[in-house]
Parts: sequence; structure tokens; C-alpha cells
Amino acid sequence: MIRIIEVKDLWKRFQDGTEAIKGVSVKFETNKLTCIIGPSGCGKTTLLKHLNQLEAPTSGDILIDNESIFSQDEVALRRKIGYVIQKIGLFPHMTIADNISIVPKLLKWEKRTYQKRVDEMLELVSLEPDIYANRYPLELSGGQQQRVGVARALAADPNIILMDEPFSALDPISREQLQEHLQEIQKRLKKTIVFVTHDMDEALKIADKIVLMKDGEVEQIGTPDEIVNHPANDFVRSFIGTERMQRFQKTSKRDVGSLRQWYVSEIDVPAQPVEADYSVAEAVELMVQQDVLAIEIKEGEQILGYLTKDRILEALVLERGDAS
Amino acid sequence: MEFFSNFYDIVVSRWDLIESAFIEHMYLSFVSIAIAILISLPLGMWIAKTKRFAEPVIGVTAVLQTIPSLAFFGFLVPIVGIGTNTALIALIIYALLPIVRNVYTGIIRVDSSMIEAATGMGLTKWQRLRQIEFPLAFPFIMAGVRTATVLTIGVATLATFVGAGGLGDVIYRGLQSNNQYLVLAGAVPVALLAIGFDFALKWLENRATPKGMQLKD
Ligand SMILES: Nc1ncnc2c1ncn2[C@@H]1O[C@H](COP(=O)(O)OP(=O)(O)O)[C@@H](O)[C@H]1O
Ligand SMILES: [Mg+2]
Repeated sequence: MIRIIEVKDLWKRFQDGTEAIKGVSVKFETNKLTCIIGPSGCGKTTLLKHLNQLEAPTSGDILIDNESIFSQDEVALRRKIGYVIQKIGLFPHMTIADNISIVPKLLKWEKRTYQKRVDEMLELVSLEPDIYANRYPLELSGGQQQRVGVARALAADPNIILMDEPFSALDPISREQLQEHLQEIQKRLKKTIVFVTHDMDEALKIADKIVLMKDGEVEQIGTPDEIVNHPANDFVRSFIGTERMQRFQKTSKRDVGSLRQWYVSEIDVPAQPVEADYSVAEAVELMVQQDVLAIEIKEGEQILGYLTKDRILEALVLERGDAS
Repeated sequence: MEFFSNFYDIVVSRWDLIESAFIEHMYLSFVSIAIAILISLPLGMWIAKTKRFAEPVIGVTAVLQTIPSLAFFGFLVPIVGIGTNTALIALIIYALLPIVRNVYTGIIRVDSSMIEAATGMGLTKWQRLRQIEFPLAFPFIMAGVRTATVLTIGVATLATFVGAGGLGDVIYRGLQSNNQYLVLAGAVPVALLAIGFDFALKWLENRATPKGMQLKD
């Protein structure tokens, strides 16, 4: 299974004459998180809704694993694709467990199997199953509800997940938490995720690839680094904003030596030695991917201090908050 | 005091009449409401789905409702004759409007994000209607049923004019013989019946409304 999505020269004109999509061609790569970003009304939602056939194109084609989705049964297609919307869309008359098990039930899973799945999914999004499974959506906070929304989209183990501004209605703290959570989930599960947002900070933080749109057309496709360091045109440049550009370059380029004020002098876990000019990005990578619990920052033979994963994250979050 | 003892005497002496009229009245109301629900539910859902017919259907039921009820009964007699069926037809048509309208509004006011989420997850139209739209519209539908029930129990007093009996018989006889106590002996049970039905339906509604939706208010 490759689960690659290819949009080919897609056009969409609504009945009232609005040209929402004007010749978009883009590939959403396997197991990557791609953000579609652009100003309000540029066609992000419309493009996303074509991927699970909630909209039909005026012309053009969409292939998943080289097969046109328009030759497939739309209901079967949608059951294979997770979908999370901005307004959360949990069903208020169903318990959390019932909400999560909707698609597994449609797919005729056995009761035992989907019940187990509900617990797994709740644990995945850090909600205690014993507490939350039998509650109703309106008994949960917005952030918790959207966690359930994510769990529901993942329940039937789809390879492709579509998310339309899933975190934009949440308070900043919940949003930050859910973004981090999504990144962790993505590291573990490896899905092909298409994520619509209008928030550049969010895109730079979570995306492997960014598709930048304006007025129904694609302006640039690239990694966050490419977009920030080589904006294709003035529109992209102004959309990113100079202030954000500098900030992003600073964090991605900075080394652990610059986090001196966050050092601790003692730790009770094993630490991996690194030089002070080791980059912060690599340090985070090391900790997340290889389960390194802490690093020991050295300059030559001298030990400058230690940093744990939590300290680094705290440092990045707080310093970024200062800058913006 | 004399008022009450006179009233009591009438109730006791005419008990047989009142009792059978009460049972007829319940029967007329119950059957017509049941049939009206059976017609309105699919009709309301259908016009909510194919919006094209919503206005005409609601319009027609609304016009029928504006015909004075007495005239309506009189209207039906040359067509269907007199008897229980005539009364039932009139009562059913009267009960249709509030139910159809509430099924319709109940379903179309379901939040579009619910519809989008359900469709996007791969529910068919029918599954969506049964699992999402109907349960979410349920409190609205029940409100319509309750309105229709109270209305029907009141209008059913006119069944006596087409020979279908009911508590209207008691009231009519009281009027004819200029006996206010007999009029009252017919009217009070009508009110009690309406209150009783409304109460029972409210209880049923509370039991059947999913807990998650009761949190809202
Ligand atoms: N159902 C529709 N009918 C007509 N125009 C629409 C419809 N849906 C969206 N549009 C228009 O298409 C354009 C793109 O909308 P949308 O994809 O929702 O933008 P975005 O998600 O980027 O904010 C907008 O101009 C919007 O008004
Ligand atoms: Mg949108």
C-alpha cells in the first residue's frame, strides 16, 4: 500500500459561478503531514473536500494509489479516510465511546474488537478510558472534544487523514498541546495526513510539506525550510512575514549552547554528551527518536550543564512566546 | 356548595353516558394521533430531504388548519357521510400540520457540521437520517406531537356533530337541555384528558431523549 494522493489539474466552479479551485496539481506524499495553507477563501476547504468526495470537481482528477477516486464508491472511500473538521462535529446524543466506534461499526467490526479499539484510541489521545468512554461530548472541554475528534478519525485505522483547521477554534494552550500530540501520534502511526490551516506558525511547526494557496491556485509547494528560506514570490514572502522568517531561522539554526540559561547542573538519568554547537533541532530529534532522556553539553573537556527533553521544549515554547 | 352537589348529582346520574363518551373520546384522539404520526414522520423527513416540496406541503397543511374546525366536519359529511371515520379523517388532517412542521424544522435545523461529519465519515443518507438527524430532531418532533395531541383532544369534542360520539355528546346535550352542570361534566374530562396526555408524552420524551442532549438545557 502506498497511499499517495495525487491531485491532477483540478478545477472547481460552484453553481453560483465562484471559481474556487483553478487548476491545482499537487501530490500528498505517503506518510507525510502536508499542510494546505493560505488566506481565508482561497479554496483550502474546497480542495480538501474533494479528497473524500464531499465535493465533485468541474474537471480534473484525483488519484489515490494510482486509482481515480471518482471510479470508487464514495461511501466506501470515506470509510477508509479519517476526517476531522474545525467545528469538531461530535454527535451530542452519543457517548464518547459511541462516537469513536461509528466507523468501526459501519465496517461491521465485532463488538469486542471495537470496544478494545475505543480504549486504545482514548489512550492514544491521552484521555483516560475509564473516565471518558461513557461521558457525553458536552461534558468535555473544547480541547478534550477535539482529542476525541482525532481519536474518532483514527479509529478504523485509515491510512489517510484529512483535517480542516482542527485546532483553530481552541484556546492557545489546548492548540499547542494538540499540535504536539498530533506530531507524536504521527511519529508512531505514520499516516498520510492532509492538514488545512490558516496559521503559518502551526504549519511551520507540524508540516513535513507545505502547500501554499492563493485565490484557488497553488503559489508554492515545499518543506517549511524551503518555504521560509526560498519563498517563490512576493505573495509567499509577505504571507510568511519577515518577523516570522527571522524567528524560524533562529530556532532552526540555533545551537544548544544558546540555551545556557535553561541548563540544569545535575540530573538523575543517563545523559548523552554533545558539543555546545550541536543544533537544537538535532538534539530534539535525538531525544524523541532515540529515547535519549537528557544531553550533557560540553565545550572541549568542560561540562557546561545538562538539558532534559522537558527543559528544551519549555525553553523553545517560552522563547518563541517572547519573540512573537 | 350547592354548585358542587348539583354537579356531583349530575355526574352520578349520567355516569354511564359520561363514561362511554370518555372512552369514545380517548379512542378518537388516540387513533387519529397515531395515524397522524405515521403519516407525518415520513412526510416531514421527505420534505426535509427534497427541499423542493417543503413549501407546498407545509403550505397545504397550514391552509387546512385555518379552516374552522366545525366547518371542516360539515365539509366532510357530504363526501364521506357521517360516523367515526369522518371524525377520524378530520382529526388526522388537523393533527398533521404541527407534526409535519416540527419534523421538518427539527431535521433541517440539525447543525450542518453534524451532517458534514457524518457524511465525511461514510454514513449513507439513510444511516445518517436514522442515527444522527432523527435523534437530534427528536425533542422537536415530540414538541409537535404534544401540540397536536392537545389540539386533537379539544377538536374531538366536535365529533358529536358527525355522530361519532365522544365527550362532545355530553356537552351538546347539556347545551340543549340548558344544563350547565352537564356541560361541565363533559368539558372537565376533556381538559383532564388533554393534561394527562401531555404529561404522559412529556414523560415519554424525557425517557427517550438521549442523556447527552438533555445536558444542553
Ligand atoms: N458551496 C459553495 N457555493 C458557492 N461558493 C462556495 C461554496 N463553498 C465555498 N465557496 C466559495 O469558494 C471559495 C473558497 O472557499 P473555501 O474553500 O471554503 O476557502 P477556505 O477554506 O480557504 O477559507 C470562497 O470564495 C467561498 O466563498
Ligand atoms: Mg476553510
